[in-house]
Amino acid sequence: MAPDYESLAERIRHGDRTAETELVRCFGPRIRALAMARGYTADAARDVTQDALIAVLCAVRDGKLERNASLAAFAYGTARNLIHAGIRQRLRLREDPLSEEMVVALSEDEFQRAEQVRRAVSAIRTLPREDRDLLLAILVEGKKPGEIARQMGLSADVVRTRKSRALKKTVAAVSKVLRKAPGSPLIRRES
Amino acid sequence: MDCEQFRKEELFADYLLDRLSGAQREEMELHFFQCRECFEELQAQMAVREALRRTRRFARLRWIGLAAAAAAVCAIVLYPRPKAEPVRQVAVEPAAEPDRYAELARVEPPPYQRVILREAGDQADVVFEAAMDHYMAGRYESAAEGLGKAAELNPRAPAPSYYLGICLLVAGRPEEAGRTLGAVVALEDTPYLEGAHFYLAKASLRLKRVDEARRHLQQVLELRDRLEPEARRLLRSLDILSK
Repeated sequence: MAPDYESLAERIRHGDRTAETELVRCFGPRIRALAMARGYTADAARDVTQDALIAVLCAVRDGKLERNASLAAFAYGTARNLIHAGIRQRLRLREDPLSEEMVVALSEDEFQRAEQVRRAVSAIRTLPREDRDLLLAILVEGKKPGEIARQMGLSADVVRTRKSRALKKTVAAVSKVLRKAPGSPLIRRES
Repeated sequence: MDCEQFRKEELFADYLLDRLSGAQREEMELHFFQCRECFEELQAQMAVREALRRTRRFARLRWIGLAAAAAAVCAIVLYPRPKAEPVRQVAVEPAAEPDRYAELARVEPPPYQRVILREAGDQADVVFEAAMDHYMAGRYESAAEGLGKAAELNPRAPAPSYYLGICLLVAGRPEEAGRTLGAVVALEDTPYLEGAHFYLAKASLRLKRVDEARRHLQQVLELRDRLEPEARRLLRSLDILSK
């Protein structure tokens, strides 16, 4: 379900500081996830996330967003461009860095991410050895189910089914953390 | 494309394995900015991938640890026992508590840029460069072995001890890492001084010696160099955790 970006942008434009922290909570984890998926290290992802958030906040505050409803697309475009460029534009050195609350909001996401990985490790350890190897081969080493099926002497369908079952079980363990987390990534504003 | 299609076609794994076309990737990424459920699924799958990587690395380290333990047992059994010595007092470690500092103590080995010299180096240089080949390939245990030899051949050279300290940290040996990086700090004016303090802070965090970690991070701040922002961030996170 899409959150109410339009009113979020409007509140930021009118100087609502809590709305700015909401934006950081909402897009910070997304930008970091994108950067990590593009091969950034955790530290570099943190830097590019802060740079992108500052760029987005400055643009919204200054009323540079053409349509408030397009906030998500604007945030994505800004993050993508900075991540693609692979350079740090040192925006953090501007006069208006992220506030203490915003930095805390980002840190909460980092701790949450660490908790997710911890839970995933525990869940993986409960899987049968073969299922664990199967997940590793498909999700990390990028092997195709057919290739693994040949090695294991199984059919590709069996490999796919076992992988789906094991992944579902592990993801369910991680998702519990996501649902319980106080700073859930998308915030629905109560009106 | 909608949520159902993303899930049905198992595009999350393809996205994380970088197998999508540019357009597909962008479509999916924009969707993550707009859809809570799909972004949660992505985060969960990213956590699973990270966990799988860690369990694989842990399994490797466990085999090395078992081999080392077996060697230690053999050494204890076969080594002639000296006369009984007075019992020494050993400081008791505080009771184990949940590791709140694990995330802050996480180490990402810094990249190594090889310097090409006109003249051939000495034996220590050759051993060092061979070890750094392992380091660059992510084989930190093999790198540590070679770096230890290079450090023995030239104890005044800071680079072998610096990278050895980092390899030991990655291999989960923070005590040894601390001693090795301490030797780099003792050399004082070297290009590795800032990094040595920084990774000493990480080693201290692994050992839950928070005050010691703070002191090393303060040293990094005083040096006002490349790692200053990261040290500042770590200090701020420690403040938040201590509250």
